[in-house]
Amino acid sequence: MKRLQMFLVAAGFMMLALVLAQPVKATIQSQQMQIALNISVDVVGTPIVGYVPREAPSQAGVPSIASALRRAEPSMQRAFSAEGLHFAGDSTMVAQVHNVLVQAEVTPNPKGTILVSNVPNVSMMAAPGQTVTVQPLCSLTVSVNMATAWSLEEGVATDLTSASGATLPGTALANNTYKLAATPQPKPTPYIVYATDGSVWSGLASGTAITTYCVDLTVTVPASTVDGIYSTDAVYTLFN
Amino acid sequence: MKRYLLGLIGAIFAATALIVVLSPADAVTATGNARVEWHQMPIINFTLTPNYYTGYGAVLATFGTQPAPTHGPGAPATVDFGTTVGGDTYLYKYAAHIHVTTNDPSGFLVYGEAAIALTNNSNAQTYPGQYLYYLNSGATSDSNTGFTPGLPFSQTIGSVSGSTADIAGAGPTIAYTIYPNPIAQSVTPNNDFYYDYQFKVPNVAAGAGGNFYVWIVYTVVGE
Repeated sequence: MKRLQMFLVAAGFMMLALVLAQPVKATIQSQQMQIALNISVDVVGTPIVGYVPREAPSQAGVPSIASALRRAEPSMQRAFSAEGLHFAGDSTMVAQVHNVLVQAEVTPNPKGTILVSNVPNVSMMAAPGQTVTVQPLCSLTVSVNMATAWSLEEGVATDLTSASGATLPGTALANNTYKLAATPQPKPTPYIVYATDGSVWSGLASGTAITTYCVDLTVTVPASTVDGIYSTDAVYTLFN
Repeated sequence: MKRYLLGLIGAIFAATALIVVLSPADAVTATGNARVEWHQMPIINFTLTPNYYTGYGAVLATFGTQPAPTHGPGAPATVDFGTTVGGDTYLYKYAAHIHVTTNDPSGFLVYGEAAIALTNNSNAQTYPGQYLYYLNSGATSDSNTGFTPGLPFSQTIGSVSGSTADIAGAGPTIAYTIYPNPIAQSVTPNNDFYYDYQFKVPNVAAGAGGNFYVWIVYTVVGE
């Protein structure tokens, strides 16, 4: 009987140890790599058809003058007479140019290849009230190059913001993420917004093999959105 | 002598007659209105000041408490991020201040583009794509981080002239036949724009690091 009691106590400790080990195991995962992809959405409310890019004058800063003078009629010889003078064309633009050198000493990242995207940024264009998906599909990929246990989390850092300070909710941006060469999900999933959703990312996937994901971005622009270029960072974080 | 005097008198008479003939009939005067129209040629003055405020420099993209900015030896003449790591994102605070004065009452447009692709000066390899971004800052402070959204500098399709070497100096200029989208617009004749930069460092293979550089060219045009 005493032996049985000792066995039960030992078994209880083992069960307790197993239960406690699970969260501990989860928390000892450490961040291995994080990448941030710039996503910009050009919201254009007016039809693009008919837009004529502004052309520079043939010789910037040199206005042309069109004028005409004519002899006064004999009957008007003693009257004051003048022709209107005007500058022809819209060639009064003057450009001033300055530049700045931007440089950095770049060193390779030993972990830089374990989480990569094929492009550093994605640009989209949409009108207010429109829903647009980036084409062609799978033009953005995110790859995990790790053959040991890993987990991948995702989200956007902030709401989308324009230079004027106008915002689009980050949840207006959704992703349909699926393994390369696999079938896309039935519908896209809105990104979680780190800055406003409790400073957390959402789990995207986990695995033990090298994997590439297609990320098809979809934006839904509210009808009340003012024109402008809105941007945010889509952030992918790899844990191991 | 007599001959001379006669000649002189004759000349005076002739000159007087000529003046009378050529003079307008001052007995008759006319008045009228003249409508004169012209376009005043805009005069634009603008200055570009890199590292325009104390505390300029690069910080690694980080949530929460921000590290102190640091910069490379090329600052303040250039925007020098210093040592960066491939795959990471950095914010460069107080990178560029554009101060514009013009006599154009309609204001002006600011264009900003890269003259060349991001280039590794160590092996001349280029990195086409958008790795450098700009975001609004303030004259003396901003709350930007490496995760604050920015907008990319595009590589120009305009005509680049001047040196694009990795040396601070005169640098390149861009001439446009068709202007790109402006990065800023002012509806007033005088204005200031303050920018931070963001650098998404490309992943480079071992041994392929080096001094990366790009020239950013700003063009200001009257409306």
